[in-house]
Amino acid sequence: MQGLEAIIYHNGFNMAAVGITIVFTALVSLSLIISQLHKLLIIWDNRKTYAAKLRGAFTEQKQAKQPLAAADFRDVRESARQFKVLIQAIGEPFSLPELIRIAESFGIRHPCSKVSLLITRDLIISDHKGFFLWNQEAYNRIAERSRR
Amino acid sequence: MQQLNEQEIKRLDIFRDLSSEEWAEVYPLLNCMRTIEGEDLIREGDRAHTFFIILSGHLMIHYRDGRALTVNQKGDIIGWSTVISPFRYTANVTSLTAGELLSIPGERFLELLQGNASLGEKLIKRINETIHHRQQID
Amino acid sequence: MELFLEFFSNTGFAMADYRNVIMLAIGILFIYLGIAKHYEPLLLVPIGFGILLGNIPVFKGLGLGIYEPNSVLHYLYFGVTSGIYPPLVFMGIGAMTDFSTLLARPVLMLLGAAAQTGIFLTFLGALALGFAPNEAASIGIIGGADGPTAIFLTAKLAKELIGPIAVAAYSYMALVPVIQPPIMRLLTTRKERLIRMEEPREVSKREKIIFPIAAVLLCCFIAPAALPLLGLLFLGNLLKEAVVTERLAQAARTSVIDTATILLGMTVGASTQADVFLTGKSIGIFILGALSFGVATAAGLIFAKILNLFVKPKINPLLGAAGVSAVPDSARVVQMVGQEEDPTNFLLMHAMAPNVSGVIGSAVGAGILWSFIVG
Repeated sequence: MQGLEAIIYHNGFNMAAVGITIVFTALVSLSLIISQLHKLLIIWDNRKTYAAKLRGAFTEQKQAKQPLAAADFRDVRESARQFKVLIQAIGEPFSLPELIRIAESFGIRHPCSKVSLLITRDLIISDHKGFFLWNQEAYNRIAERSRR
Repeated sequence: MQQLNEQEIKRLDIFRDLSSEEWAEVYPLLNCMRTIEGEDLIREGDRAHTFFIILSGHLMIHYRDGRALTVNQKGDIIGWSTVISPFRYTANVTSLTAGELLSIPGERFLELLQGNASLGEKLIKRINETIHHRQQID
Repeated sequence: MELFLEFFSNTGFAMADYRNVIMLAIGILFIYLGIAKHYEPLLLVPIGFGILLGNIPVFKGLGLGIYEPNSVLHYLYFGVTSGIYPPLVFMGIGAMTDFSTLLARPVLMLLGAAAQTGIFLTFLGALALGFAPNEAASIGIIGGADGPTAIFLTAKLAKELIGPIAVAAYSYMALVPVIQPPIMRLLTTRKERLIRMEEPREVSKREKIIFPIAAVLLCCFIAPAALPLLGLLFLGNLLKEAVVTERLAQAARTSVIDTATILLGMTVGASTQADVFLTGKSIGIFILGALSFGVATAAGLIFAKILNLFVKPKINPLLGAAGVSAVPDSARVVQMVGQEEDPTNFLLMHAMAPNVSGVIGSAVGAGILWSFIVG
């Protein structure tokens, strides 16, 4: 048996059509997954950020009235107290990202903005070598003010 | 999102030497973006895809070995590796507070600099000055 | 004198006939092509030498020939007939392959899929020529341009054709720089050949690690019969990308693949004997093999042109020819043809994407054909 008759007899057209369809399905599916993979990894890396953004979207109005950069005196004192203890534990000079990571692991809320506040108030100062030091003098001044 | 105040932005350090024609080429590339506390903007080693200019907020530039520095001045720049070989970010950048940044797509920025010698020279000069003025880490 | 005549009658000289001589000449030709002309030497030299070993006349019953149960060659041949060597070769290929160009531009994977059309069209052609379905499937897989895949499937479906199919597959793989360029020039315009590809994005290490795991799960769930080939291919790739298993990856891409290649080539060559090779069927296999390469190349090129109607930025359609999984020869041919039009147009790395996708596609195609014929 030869020719078209042989192909039809052995169901050749169906096998070829199904076969090429399956090959395409496999590779199309794989290419779709790959094309989204790097985006999923970015979302995974920033999952906390996105979760915070999502929470932030519901309290946007409130945040506009109380920007994180503005802090009253009690916030500074409280943050200074918390971080002083941490810095004493990890020693000086310390790595700033490491301090933030440890603060987060200890359950201190908003560690990044608190560190920002302490830096702007000169409670945490740079050693000009990439690491940071606690400024006890500045802390003493704040403590003095709070006693008055 | 806050509308870009063109005159305010033109007064930023990096743009202050530009002529009107040169500014007209740069301005369309600028986008405004907000950051939130703890957001990772840049990862060390990644291809340098975006150039940032701080409008507000406090950013931490940090390295794998734990060193870091912070920048919070309006007009400070982040991500100059978009225009300097090998076009890979040399540090991680995390936002310490909520803030606003101007962003410029790296490839288009580089094309602009390479296509206009005078503009390129002015901007690179400002970028170099910023790099030198920033706190140096040994 | 009688002793001498008795001795002579026991030598190969007495037992040889013209078919042995022809096959020995073919074996020597393969060795010559491999060593002197550098045509796929890693394959043609062991195959050629194997042809010599397999076609030296020996007494039957003494456990010498490859088809005799107790012979050394027969034990070594077991790795071919049971489908052990090809997956080991694939593991080595996976440990050598960088999938990052594919990960950076996943749409190029479809060019690899399109080129596998050659497998199924050749399958139909073989049926039309009167081959049985199992033989037609083994012949069709030549269109996948993948030696280990062709040998793997033929060992499962039509063991007796391993010799001519392997020889056809590897010969045409070596002739890719001759077969493909005319088809590429015929089916593309100069304007299309001048298209420059966009710079691919950087692919992270994590993507390269996740890819082989996701790919093996997806492809083997869709086509379970592709498990032996794809499983080992992606294992090799994971060993490479994981870095912590670099020692194993190193072994896979050196000693393991080299050992498997030597034994595969030599035993396939030894199994290529005159009574199977010097037949009308072999001529049919060689003709269909040439056609399958041509059809696969054309299918990849045409699909790339169709894809350009939908994607932006446009793909250089020459990349479609790289969907023929002769890695990296067809990618090099794409580079060469592209550079004829524009010497500054570097297409090689872009062409590697459909090239390696073709390897995956041909393994899936083999699994599908195996399940159709056996199932």
